[in-house]
Amino acid sequence: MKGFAPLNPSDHVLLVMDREIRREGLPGAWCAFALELGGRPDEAALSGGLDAAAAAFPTLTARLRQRGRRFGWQRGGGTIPLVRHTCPPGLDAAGFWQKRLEALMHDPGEAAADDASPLSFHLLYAEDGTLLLARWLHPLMDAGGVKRLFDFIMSPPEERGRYLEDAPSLVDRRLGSWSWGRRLTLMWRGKRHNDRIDRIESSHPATTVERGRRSLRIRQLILDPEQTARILSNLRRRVGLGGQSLYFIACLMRALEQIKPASRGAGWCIPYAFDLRPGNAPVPVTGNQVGVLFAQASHAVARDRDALFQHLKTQHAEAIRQELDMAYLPLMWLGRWLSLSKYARILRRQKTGGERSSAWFSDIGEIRFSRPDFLGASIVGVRHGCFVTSPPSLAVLFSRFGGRLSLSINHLLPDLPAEWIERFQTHLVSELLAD
Amino acid sequence: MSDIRPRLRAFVLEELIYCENPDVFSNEQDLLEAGLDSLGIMRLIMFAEREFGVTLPDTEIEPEMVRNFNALTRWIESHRQ
Repeated sequence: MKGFAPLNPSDHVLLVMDREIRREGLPGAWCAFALELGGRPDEAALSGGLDAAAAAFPTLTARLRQRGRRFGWQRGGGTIPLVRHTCPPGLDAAGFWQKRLEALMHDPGEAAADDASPLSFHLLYAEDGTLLLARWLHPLMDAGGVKRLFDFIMSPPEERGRYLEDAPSLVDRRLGSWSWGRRLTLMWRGKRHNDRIDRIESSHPATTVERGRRSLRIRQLILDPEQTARILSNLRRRVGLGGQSLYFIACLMRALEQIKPASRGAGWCIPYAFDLRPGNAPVPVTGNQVGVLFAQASHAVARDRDALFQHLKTQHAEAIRQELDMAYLPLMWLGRWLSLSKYARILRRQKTGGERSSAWFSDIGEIRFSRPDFLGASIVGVRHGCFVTSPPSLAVLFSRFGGRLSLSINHLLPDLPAEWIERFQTHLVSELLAD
Repeated sequence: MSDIRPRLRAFVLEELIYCENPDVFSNEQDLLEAGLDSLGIMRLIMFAEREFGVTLPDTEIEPEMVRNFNALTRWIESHRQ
């Protein structure tokens, strides 16, 4: 067991999803977080930063392995790969980045997924800009950790110490601070909450299509500062300071409602993760440090914009009041003793066997890097991407950088074709800007 | 009433924002700038309601109310009376 770092309960959930994605013939729960740079970064400094990161966080170069009933990262040294790609003549930067991003997400391959490096960096050079892309397997870390890894790499060596106290995971630390009685109380509360949620069968944007060849497409949408300011003003008025993600979730539900669900249940259910790290904390870098909550609304409520915001706000406040934000941690912890397929069946799906999530959602929030430039190149934008299970075949990721709202719409073909996404995007943007 | 601020400080600096040296984090320092996020604000409000026996209305959750420890303390005190 030397050099074996077990997954924390939150990582384990992502592993369950990774296996579900692979069962559909897709490469797994791969994610992307990219910096759009105004020029070329100092490559030698980047290589040095990656070597320092590999030495500081040995999990980043480990391989996913099973030891008995536990899954974890088998460390064995090695480096974080850095691959360079150059835009062929005649292709614009945005088109090149898009094509390469989608190709890289599919690249690790199904059979080799456990042997692929769980994290790699890619420099995509085009004439009018550079994209620095981190691609990682989701059980390894969350987007907040990747942001901290970028900070680590761009910091001078003498300032990197603040990112190094990287253990234990915040999920394990919080679980460890509770008595068994408290763990059990919260666990039952979480289980009861799941049961309540499952009384409303979730609708999905795509009907279940036959198993077969699927692929991921990613659309990036970056709104201008004026549109972003308008959305933030709407957000403040509609959901206030205490529930910012709810605005995006409500708009997502409304956009889905307007297109009409292909698989019609009684309402929409959108899970949303929250970061357990205290705000601005430099650590932990590795592992998923998140808990989960659920936003749920019937179709009737989703059709009424005013009612939907009020409903989600009340639901969110009640969830925090009942400590449901913490109740899933012991449930996830318990799930580690189940097989991956049993975990998916008992804890992730509804009792009818249907997928609980109507769409995957993430609000990465406002991204503020520790420095304005990345090793000599200005940071002008951010991009994200992720795989998703089928159903729901749709994942929408939000973040803000430099006063611009960034949306990443990830969808599986053929479940959700391009024309569907076109209509969905129109409705979503219109909902975000409404009022 | 004087117990509000220290208990708020302990909760926020332990659970909600990261501060290398909590002792030097002043009562006027900006909590939002220090990383207090949306869910953190909600958890803070629930903590205050539970610990100090107040109800803090949704409609009053404005940046000025949660800007720093002094503002937060004043807000909670105004609902305690």
